[in-house]
This record gives sequence, C-alpha cells and structure tokens, in this order.
Amino acid sequence: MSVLQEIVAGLGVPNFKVLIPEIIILITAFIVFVIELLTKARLLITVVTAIGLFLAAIPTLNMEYGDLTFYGLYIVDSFSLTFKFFLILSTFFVVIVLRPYLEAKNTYYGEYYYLILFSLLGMMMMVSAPNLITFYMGIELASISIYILAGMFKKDYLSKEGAFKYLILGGTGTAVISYGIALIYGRTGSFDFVTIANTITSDNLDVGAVAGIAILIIGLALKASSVPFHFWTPDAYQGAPTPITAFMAVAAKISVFAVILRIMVEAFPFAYEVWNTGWALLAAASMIFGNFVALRQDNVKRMLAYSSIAHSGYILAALAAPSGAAFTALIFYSLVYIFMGLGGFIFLSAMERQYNWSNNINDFRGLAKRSPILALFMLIFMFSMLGIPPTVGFFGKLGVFIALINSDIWWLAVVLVVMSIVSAGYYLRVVIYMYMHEPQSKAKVNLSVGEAFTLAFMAVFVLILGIYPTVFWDISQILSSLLVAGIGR
Amino acid sequence: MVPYEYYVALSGLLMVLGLIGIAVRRNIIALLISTELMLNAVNIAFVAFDMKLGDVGGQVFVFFILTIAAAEAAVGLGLIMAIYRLRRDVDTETLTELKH
Amino acid sequence: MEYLWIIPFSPLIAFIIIGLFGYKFLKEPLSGIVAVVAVAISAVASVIGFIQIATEGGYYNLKLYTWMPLGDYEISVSILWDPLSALMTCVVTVISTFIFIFATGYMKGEPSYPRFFAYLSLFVFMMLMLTLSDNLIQLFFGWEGVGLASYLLIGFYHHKNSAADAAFESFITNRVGDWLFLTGAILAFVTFGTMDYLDIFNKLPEASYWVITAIALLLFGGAVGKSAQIGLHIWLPNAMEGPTPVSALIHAATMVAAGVYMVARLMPIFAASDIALDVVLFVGVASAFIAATMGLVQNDIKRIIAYSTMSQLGYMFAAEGLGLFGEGMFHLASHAVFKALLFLAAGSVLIGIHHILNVQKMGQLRKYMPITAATFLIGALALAGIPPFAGFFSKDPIIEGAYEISKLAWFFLWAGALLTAFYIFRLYFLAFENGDRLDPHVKEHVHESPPSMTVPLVVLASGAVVLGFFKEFFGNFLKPSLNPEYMSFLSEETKRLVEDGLSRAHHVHMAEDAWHFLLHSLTSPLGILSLITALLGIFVAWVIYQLKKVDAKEIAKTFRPLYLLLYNRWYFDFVYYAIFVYGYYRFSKILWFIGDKIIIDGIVDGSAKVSLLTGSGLRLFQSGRIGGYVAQMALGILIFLGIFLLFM
Repeated sequence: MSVLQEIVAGLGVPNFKVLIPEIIILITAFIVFVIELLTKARLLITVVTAIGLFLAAIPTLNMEYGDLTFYGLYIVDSFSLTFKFFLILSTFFVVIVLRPYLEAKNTYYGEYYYLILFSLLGMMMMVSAPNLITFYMGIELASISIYILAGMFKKDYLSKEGAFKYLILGGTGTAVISYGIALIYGRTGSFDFVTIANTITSDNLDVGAVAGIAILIIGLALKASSVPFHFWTPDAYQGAPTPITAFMAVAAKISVFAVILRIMVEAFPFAYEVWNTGWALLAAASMIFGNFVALRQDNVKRMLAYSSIAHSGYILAALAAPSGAAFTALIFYSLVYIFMGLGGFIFLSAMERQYNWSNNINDFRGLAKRSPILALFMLIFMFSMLGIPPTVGFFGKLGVFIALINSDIWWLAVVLVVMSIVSAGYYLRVVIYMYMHEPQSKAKVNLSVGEAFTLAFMAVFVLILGIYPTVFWDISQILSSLLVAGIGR
Repeated sequence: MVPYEYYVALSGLLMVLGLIGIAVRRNIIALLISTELMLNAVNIAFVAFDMKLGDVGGQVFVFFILTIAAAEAAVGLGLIMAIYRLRRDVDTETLTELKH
Repeated sequence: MEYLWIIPFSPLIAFIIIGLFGYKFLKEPLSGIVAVVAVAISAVASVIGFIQIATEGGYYNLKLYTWMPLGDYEISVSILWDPLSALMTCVVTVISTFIFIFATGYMKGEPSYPRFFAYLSLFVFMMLMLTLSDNLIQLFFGWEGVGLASYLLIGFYHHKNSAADAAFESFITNRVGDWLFLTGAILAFVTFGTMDYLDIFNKLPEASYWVITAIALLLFGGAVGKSAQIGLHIWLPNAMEGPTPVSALIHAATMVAAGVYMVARLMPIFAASDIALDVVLFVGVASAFIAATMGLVQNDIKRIIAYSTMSQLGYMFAAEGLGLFGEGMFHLASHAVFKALLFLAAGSVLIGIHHILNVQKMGQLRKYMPITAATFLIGALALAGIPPFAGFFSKDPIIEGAYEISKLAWFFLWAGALLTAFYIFRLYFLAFENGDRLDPHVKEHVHESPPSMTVPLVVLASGAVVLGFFKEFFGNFLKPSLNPEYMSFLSEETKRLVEDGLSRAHHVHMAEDAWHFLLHSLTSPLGILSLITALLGIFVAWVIYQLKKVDAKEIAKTFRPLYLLLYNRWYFDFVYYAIFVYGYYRFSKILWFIGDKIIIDGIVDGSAKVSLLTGSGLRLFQSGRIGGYVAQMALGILIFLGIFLLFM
C-alpha cells in the first residue's frame, strides 16, 4: 500500500462532484493564463473566460445534492450555490464589458481575466465556508487578487494610490479578522461554526468571546466597507478601472454579506444581542455617512462609491433584527443589489469610453437628448437605488424596513427612511442633469454589444423584479429558513 | 513556564503597535512592514492559544497567515515600485490625491 | 378560465410593442393594426368568457401573482370574473375595438400616429385592470392608470395650449377624487384588514355603520371625480380637446363609467349604509338634471355630447342610489354603445368639415354624409329614449322606478329626459338638417367618411337598435352579482344586511321582458307620459330649429338671466375659479411670508442646506491620508469594543 492509498483509506476521498463549479473556474483561470502567455489573442481570452464562467454556472443551478466535504472544511448547500450562481453571473457581465473599456483606456493586460477568475474563486470559497479557515482563505484569495486588479491601470497614478490604500487598510482588516479568529479559537478551541456555536452558550459568554466576536465584526465590517471602516472604499473605487470597480462593488460586496450572514447565524447564534447591536450601529453610521457625503460629490463614480457605502448600511441594517424576515431581507437586498450596482457602474464604464467623458456630473448634462435609451437605463438604476416603485430597490428597502419594524427597532427604521430621502438629493441630481439640461456636446454615444446587452439586461431585470419580486423573495425566504434551521449540515 | 496570557497580551501589544505604526509612519514601506507586524502579532496569539489548548489547529492557521502575509507583501512591494516609478517618492504625503 | 389573463395583457403587449418599435419599424398603418388586433383578441377572449359565465353561472377568482406582502395581507394581481365584471369587460373591449378601427381612419396622416395607439392601448390595459380587479389596490392602480392615460390623451395635441390646459385641469380635478378614494381604501384596509372585495363584503356585518358610511362616501368621492358628477365635473367638457376617438372611448364609453362600475362592484358596502345610497341618489339626480340644462345652450358639438354624458352618468348613479343596480348597469352598457356612436358620428362630421366645432356653422350635412347622419339619428333617438332603441329600455325603467321610490327624484329625472330629447335633436337639426350655414369653401370638400369609419358607425348603430331587446337577458345575467338573493359569494349575514339596504327598491315591479315592458309603457299612464315627454322634446327642437317658427335668439332674449346661467354652465367654473384659483392666490399671498419664507425655506431649504453642510463636514474625514484613515479606524475600534466590553 502506497502512502497515498493509506491516506485515502484513512480519510476517505473528498466529494469532488460538488466542487465542479470551483474546479471549472480554476481550470479556466489556468487556461487563460496559458493563452495569455502564449498568444496575444485578446478576443480569445475574453471568449474562453466567458465560456468558463458559463460552464461553471450550469452545475450551480442543477446540482441536486449538496455536501459537507473536505473533512468539514467546505459546505455546498442551497445558500452557497445560489450565491455562487449570482457571483458567476455578475462576473460574467464584468468580463464581457472589460475589453472595450481596457482598450479604450489603453491599459490592456491579459492578467485581468485570470485575476478576476481567482478572485471569483475566493468569493465562492467564502460563501461555501462552514469554517473560519476556509472563510479566511477565501476572503484573502479574493482580496489579494482585487488589490492587484484595482492597481492595474497602466500609468495611472490614482489607480496605484487607491490600490495601495486598499492594500494597507485591507491588510489591517485581515490582521483584525485573524485576531478575532484567534480570540474565538482561544476560547473554543475550534474553527468550525457549529462547534463554536455548541461550545459557548449565552450563559457562559465572557469577555474573551465577546471581544473575539466584536473584533471579527470589525474586520468583516471593513471588508463590507461599513462606516467607520470604509475609508478605503471611495479611494479604491475611484482609482480602479471602472469594470473592476463594478466587480468590487457588487461581487466582492455580496459575497461578504453572504459570509457575514452565515457566520452570524451559524457560529454566533448565542451572542445575537452582541452582533445585533454591533451591526445596527455600523449600519446606521454607514447610512448616515454614505448618504450625506455622497450629496457633495461631483464625480459620479465617487458618488456611487459613497452610495455603495450607504447600501452596505441598508443591507447590514437587516442584521439588527435576529429574525427570519430580516435574514430574508438581507439575502433579497444583496441579490437585487447586483442588478442596480452593476447597472450603475457599467453605465459609467461604457460612458468613459466616449469622447470627453470624465465621470463629472456635468458630463451628464442633456444625456437624455443625446441617447434617450441610455438615459432611461440610468434613470431606472438611479430610481432603483433610491427605492422608487416599481423598481426592485423599493422592495429591498421595504423588506429591511418591515423586518426592523416587526422586531421593534424603530430608531433604525427611521434612520433608514430619512436617509433614503436624503439619498434622493444625489440620485435625482443625476436624473435632473440628464433630463433637464441642454447637452454640451452632440457627440453620438457608441456602445459595444456587450455593454448594450449588459445595461439593457440590468435595466429590464430591475424593472421585472420590481413588478414581480415574488421569485427572488421566495428564494430568499427559502435560503434564510434553511440557514436558520441549519439544514445541509 | 510563562503563562499563555502573557503571550496574548504581547500579541495585543504588537497589534496596537502595528496600528500606530500605520497611523504615524510616513514612509509607505514602513506601512507595509506595520501590517506584517500585525499579522505576526496574530501568529503569536495563535501559538499562545495552542499552548493553552494543547491543540495544533492554531499552528496550522499560522502557516496560512504566513502565506497570506507573503502574498500581501509581494503585492504591496509591487505597488510601491509602481508608485515610486510614477512619483519618485515613497512618502505618504504623495498618496493624498484621492480624498473627500 | 385561465385564458382570462389574455384580456388585460394583450393591450399591454401592444403598448410595449408600439412603444418600443412604433416610430422606427411599425410606422403609420402597422402600429394601428397591432393595436386593433391586440384589443380584438381581448374582445374575443372576454366574449368567450362572457358566454361561458352566462351558461355555467358561478364566478371565478384567479390570483395571477402576488405583488407584495403588506403585513398579513398579500397584494396580488388577480381577476374576478363574475357577471358584473364580465359585462363591463365586454363593454370596454368590444366598444374599444370599434373605436380603435375608427381611429385608424380618423388619425390618418397624423405625425404622432404610433404614439396615439400606444396611449390608447395603455388606456385599455389600465381600464381592464380596473374592471377585472378583485381588490381595492388593483382597482386603484387601474383607476390612476386610466387617469394617467386620459391625461396623456387629452393633451395629445400638446402643442395646443388649450389641450395642455385641459389635460392639466382634468389631472388636477381627478386627483381630488383620487385622494378621497385612496383615503377610503386605506380606511377599508384598516377596518377590515384586507383589500379583497369578497373578504370585505363578508366582514361587513362586523363593522360599525358609521365606518361603513365613511368608507362608502370616500370611495364615492373618487367616483364623483372620475365620472364627472356635480362638484368635480368641470374637467369633462374641457377634456374634449383630445382627438375625437379619445372622447368617445374615454369620456363616453369607458373611463367615466368606471365610477358607476365601482359603485356597482362594491354594492354591498353601499347597500349597508342608507346615507351612502341617499348621497349617491342626490348627486346622480342633480348631475342628471343640471348637466342636461347646461347642454341646452352649448354650441360646440363635442361639448353638447359631453354634457349629455355627464347627465346620463347621473341617471346611472341615480339608479344605483335608488337600489336599482341592475338597471344602472344595463343603462351603462346601452349608453356606452349609443354614446360611442354619437361621438364617432361627431368625429366623422368633424373630419368631413375640417374640424369646425360650432354647430351654428353646420347644416344640411345629411346630403353629403348620409351614413353618418342616419347613424347619428339612431344614436339621438336612443339617447332621447324613443322605443325601440336601446336608450328607451335602459333609461325609462330608471325614471319609472324613481316614481315608485321618490317623487322628487322622479320629477328631476323626468324633466332631465325632456331636456335630453330637446338638446340632442337641437344638435341633430342644426348639424344635419335645415339651414345652409356651411362655409362655401368647406362645402366643396365635404364628403362621406371612409369605410374604416363608417363600418364601426353602422355596427354600433345596429347595436343601439337591438340591444334594448336583451333587457331580460341582462337582468337575469347580472343577478348573481347584484341581487343579494343570488350572490353566492356573500355570507348569510351579509346577504341580510344587503337586502335590508336595498329594501327601498323592493316594491318596484317592472316587466323584465323587453316586449312586456314596451307594452306596459304604451299602456300605463306613467309610460305614456315618459314617451310623450321625449316626443315633446323632439317636437320643440323641430319647431325651433327645423321649421324656425320660433327664433331661438328671441327665447334667449326673453329668458336672458336663465340663458346666461345655462350658457355659463351655472357659473361653476367661475365659482371654482374664484374660490380655488383666485382665492387660493390671495390666500397664498398672505401666507407667502409666513409659509414660503419661514416654513418652506426654513424646513425644506434648511434641511437641504443642513444636509449639504453635513456632507461637507463629514467628507473632511476622508482626508486622503492613510495615517488619518487608520487613526480614525483605531478610534472606531476603540469605541466599538468599548461599547461591548464595558456596557454589555
């Protein structure tokens, strides 16, 4: 018997079947790496990446049995599969708009593609983590890839500066997260969520455990760009190439929300009072800070960065209430944020390729006259972020609001509503500039097929989900009830 | 034998030192070193807790942290090189164009 | 019955298709054809559904999908298919089909041709959402939707100032009604915890009388606005600025009847409160009479018909107030047919004489437009209530029923009938018969309209002839929706409550069969009186405007104050202008310093300024320095940890 056979006999073979999406992503990343090395066929790289993403998305949809595999280090359940599907979907849209942008900005590298894939792999590991180790590896794989992506703007100083700030603050976040993990490990002797939950009860909750949880929350809040740990967000978002910003603001964000929800619900059910208060405070600070500062931004990309801080606040506010309705609202809002977030940032990415466009609010003047359809799309995204029915953003906020009220957390519900009203100031400003001002240039707007398709897809989905939110709502409800019941473990 | 609480306290102290280092140092390479310091502080905490628990899980985690610290340092140094090429400067004051 | 979803969504699809591709690909004939086909599909589907429910009985309640949860209640898009909604849906879709076909001819050569059909399709979709709804929220959605579509269509010629003003006026006036309606709907939700009609009906016995009365009156406030009854009626005549098919579709056949339909739909709520029924009766009778007097002296052909619409809607409300819901709905159906006919005939006239609206400048059009004249005459006879046309079978039962219940109401309704016959034949004689007042230049070009316009006229005219003989069928058909004895979806308690409320109409006995009714009318004194009244009205119009034995101007001089009162529409517009426009202007002048300077500037601008200032302040935290960031983060960590470690 060889050593390998002995190991297999002793431990059993991990169930690789449930890992097919991850394996496909990894293989695609290597193939893209090789293609990039050997040829400079740009179209081929895009196509291979897109095909890989497409192939990886299929098993996330039709996988029948999940599993807890890799000796308890990896869980594949409906929750992780759903998030994996939407992560792959959002990455797909980023990939198809990436090349025209990079070529227009003269900053093309093949590296973008496999770094995006590695980052996606990290996010998929994150949402599949039943264990602090897997979670940590996933979040670092995702983050480090994004540090590089954010700084890959050729000869652009702002991009390097944003990326370096992101690296230093993100590195601090990593240290904080691992310190939190260390404290929790020291208290419980385990990294496994369920074991942690079983070791500590609300009776023997001591300073060490509370400090560990609080520090872990701080680290996660940093990754979720929640105030007061958000400082990297506006700078890194503004500096990064815009499709990468979209990737950071959407895919990275929602994977963090998913993992936050899973850790809080599965690992720390005993300390819900601690994390409820913690997230409520962070959410309120994010909503207030993000919305007020966004009012004062003239650069629309930076404004959207602050708005994404505010949206983190809306989403995290759901964690203030330890109820199934709140978790449902969180999942629903995260999923639908994909559509408005991608829509907004990819709109900017498409416009940046146009002549004389600097993302300044003045560039939006009279856009409705230059391109009525594009302006309509942006209007839909802005209305959705603002939360006006019949766009889906309204239901996202409504879900959080109702969950908060059902748990009698009135103060946070009031903050949410008031801050939504404040946010009208900057979202509608964009709309007013587009529709009520005369255009400064008559230049025609040219879009690539990928960009046109992505924008139309997002706008239509924002509207369809606004009229028919039931499907997503039901999905969110099922996922949250599965998560609470701990089914699939 | 030194009680494990001492090691944990040391790691906490190093953590705070790392934070202070990032807050006050002006050389961006020093910022990078400070983050490494924080990660190593965590390593000490893990090893200390292993001592207390009689477990090896924490020490395994230390390896992961070391790897990640190395990766971060590599990316960080690359970015510092790029910044230096563009600005011929490694002072944090140069890194203030993105603000407000 | 699942196929019923086609009915509302077929026009919606047409709206989307025309809206997206109208100008680029479909252009002139195709976008009209798409709209016609879509609405014809709805019409066929609703007629099939109508036949099915007529033969099988019962009712269907389909929940298409849940839109959003509201506490324990889930707002859903649904279809309630019972005889009442089936009748209303058929009226809407069938009449719309003819009007759409007519419009393809009427709008020929119009630059905004696709836009027009997009709006029309949107209107039909919204109207069907309204009629098919099984809950107050969807009803309100449709209610607002038809308001929006009507606003867009009235202002269709938006380069014309008068059209834009009329659209705005209609929008504002309707908002008043809509707010009342919404308040009523919310009150109903608070009281009953549901918005579904059937649940509300069955919870009626639990609620107190005054709450039900309040809900009914608030909802009726919405109906007053939408159906242009006295009080909120001023928008309807001005709404004639829109293209004529719009006037026919929205302001005659469908949208304005929505109020009547709503009251019939929510019949149990109204029947549970006799105050509400009395108010409905009063408003209906007042509108029926006053609008008829206003119609006497107008000279704009479309406005005359508009006042007649208002007056006929008054008859329908009066019928509902009397407890004769079936008769009211039957009058709605027959009125939709002959009023659409009258409007389309007027539209045909306008096309023929190049949009001269003044009836004093028409004359002898019958020679040039024989089909239009003949069909208009049929419509006029139906409106006047001459047997055997539809109006006779639908309007006379209301007047005769009123005699049994309230003599006062009967008197005004009867007088209104006299005036109705007079003004519509005044219009007929002035426009089509004696008096050659046409401009010679126009005269050269006058011609009969193309078949796309005359065919709908002929079809609607035959409808106006035969529809009356289906009186018994409609009466029986509507029983499961409007007669508590046959209403299977009501609980026993609610049935008793509703029957008590409708007891005022119990001793009204009328022949249900059309032939018996006709026979009865020709033999009983009351029936003969009605008939003579109608004939008298026509006769007087004939004497004055055809034979010219009496000069209309002389009469106007003799009764000058009365003439002025009527000509100025009872000074409603002036009073409203004085109170709402001028009064509001003065009032706001006074409040300007207090209100605008202090409150508006103080709160709105102030909060905006404070927000911006806060933003300016908070953004300073984003100093751009990593050191600053980390220091602030460290502070955040300290506070955050402090909160947990010290206070928990």
